[in-house]
Amino acid sequence: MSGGVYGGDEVGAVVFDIGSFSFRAGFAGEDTPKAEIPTHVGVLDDLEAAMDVEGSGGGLPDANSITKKRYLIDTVYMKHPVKDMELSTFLKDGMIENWDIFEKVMDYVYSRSIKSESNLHPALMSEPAWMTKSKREQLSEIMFEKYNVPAFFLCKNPVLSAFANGRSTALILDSGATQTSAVPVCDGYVISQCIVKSPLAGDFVAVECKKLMEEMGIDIVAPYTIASKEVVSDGQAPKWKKKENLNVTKSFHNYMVKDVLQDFAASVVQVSDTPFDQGQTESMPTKLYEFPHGYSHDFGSERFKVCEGLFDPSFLKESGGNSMLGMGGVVASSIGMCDIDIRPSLYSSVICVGGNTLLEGFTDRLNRDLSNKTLSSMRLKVVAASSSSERRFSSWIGGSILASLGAFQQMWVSKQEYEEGGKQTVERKCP
Amino acid sequence: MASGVKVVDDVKLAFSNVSINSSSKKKEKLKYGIFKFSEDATQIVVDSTGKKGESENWEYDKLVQNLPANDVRYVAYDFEFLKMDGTPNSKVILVSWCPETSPIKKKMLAASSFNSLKTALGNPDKYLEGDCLSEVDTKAVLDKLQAKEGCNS
Repeated sequence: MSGGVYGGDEVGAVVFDIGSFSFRAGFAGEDTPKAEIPTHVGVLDDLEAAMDVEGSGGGLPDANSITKKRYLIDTVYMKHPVKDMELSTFLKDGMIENWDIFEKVMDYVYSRSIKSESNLHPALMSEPAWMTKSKREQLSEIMFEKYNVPAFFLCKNPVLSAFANGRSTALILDSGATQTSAVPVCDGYVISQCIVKSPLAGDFVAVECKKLMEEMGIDIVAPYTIASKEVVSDGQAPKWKKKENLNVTKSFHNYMVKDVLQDFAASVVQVSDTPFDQGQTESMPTKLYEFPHGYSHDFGSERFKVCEGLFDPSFLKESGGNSMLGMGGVVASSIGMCDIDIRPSLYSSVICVGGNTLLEGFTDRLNRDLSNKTLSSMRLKVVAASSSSERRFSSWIGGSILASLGAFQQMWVSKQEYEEGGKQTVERKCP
Repeated sequence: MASGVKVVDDVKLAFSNVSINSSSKKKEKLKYGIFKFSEDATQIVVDSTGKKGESENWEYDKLVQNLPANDVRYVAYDFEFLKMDGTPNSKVILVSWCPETSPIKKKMLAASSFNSLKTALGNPDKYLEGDCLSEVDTKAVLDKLQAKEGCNS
């Protein structure tokens, strides 16, 4: 079964999955998304309004709008330093906030990644578990009326992740870029009153890394500012030249610095198996990291220390650290709010998804912290897909399979149903 | 949310024959029923059924050990056990078998259809999901079946 059959025509459905870091799109039935583009876009006040912009997917429809904006979408365009370009995202708390940018990104994805007409393909889209009714209605309105999709379906992220791991009842710990959430799923439905969220996630780790660099006196130089550099031996001061005349905005610069920090976190940072202990981690092997401007440094116990706050917020120096929940805390408090009868089933399948869970040692530490919080008679199991793409794209992959199932074809909200029942139809057919 | 997969009548019949207490003229008591997906993945059909003592695989542990390692199955089994107070009892348990080594597509199919299956079978109150033997073996089933009794004693 490659594509879905809809209305007698063999056309593949398109699957969209929007994360706080990136937007994944591709055809149902395929193993990985065709495109993964950042959810951040470059925004420019357009001075040459008539100019057709690379990446924005054509001219602007409304000629009378007062402030014309140019949008630069996708890695290639947005990571290139452009004077006065601000970076912004269309998401807030995982939900679509800026519908203008969202539509621009959708235009881009249809023309550049899917390379087909939107009215030919049923569209399945994932959404956060806490998506509001009004946003779901607005989204379906856009999909049906602007993009003319023949059929549409909205699926909750955690449900797709649970299914993709072979469970209909599970606790999904999704630690992405901007936040971590624990969502209980029971018999394929989200228990929405028991969702627990914490701001401790990927961006938090990046901020901690930045603080560490400041403490250690290491400059984070974003690659776009480097004109030339020379090879220096480990620990030596870097020799590099800065590019002149870069009039970039603060938001662009911060994004590019974060990019370096994210790479640092992915390659150097490791979660300690046990609560952080200076002496113990000092005996662990060190890791060498070369910064973009050529400086290299060996990281020892620091690489464990920077992410300790994820699991033990009281470790954070600033006030307020204690009011946040660490990874184990998020899971335990979410399960604690659920009915006592289903708690054992949830503890026996805690599924880790999201890019931040790829930090080395993440699942081991979670397992340890949770076993300290539960009775020994409780069957505890932390499940995590071994491949990084399965973990980062788990909800996309789930949606891809679901939309390609022969039996699923009757579940879609068709254009006709939408026209007859209005935008509430989505609320009714996609629980 | 569900996959839209249908449950054929044979599955419902087999399940009710596992659930009855003893054979009668019309119905023959079954010990277990194993269900799987049809070739085109649109229906849940009967894979095999068995009576107590009929073949060597009727015992629960043997039965689950013989489940495929790279495909998904549902198992309905009339499980005999001793209650916490020592009185014999039996209860039908429904197991969703999604081994870790099965393709992700199969896992998705089995998990998203489990709820439809339960509904079609009249929502049995004892069920389990497992991706490895230790999650579905006799001990795991007993934990599940004795959970309530354990709380009361």
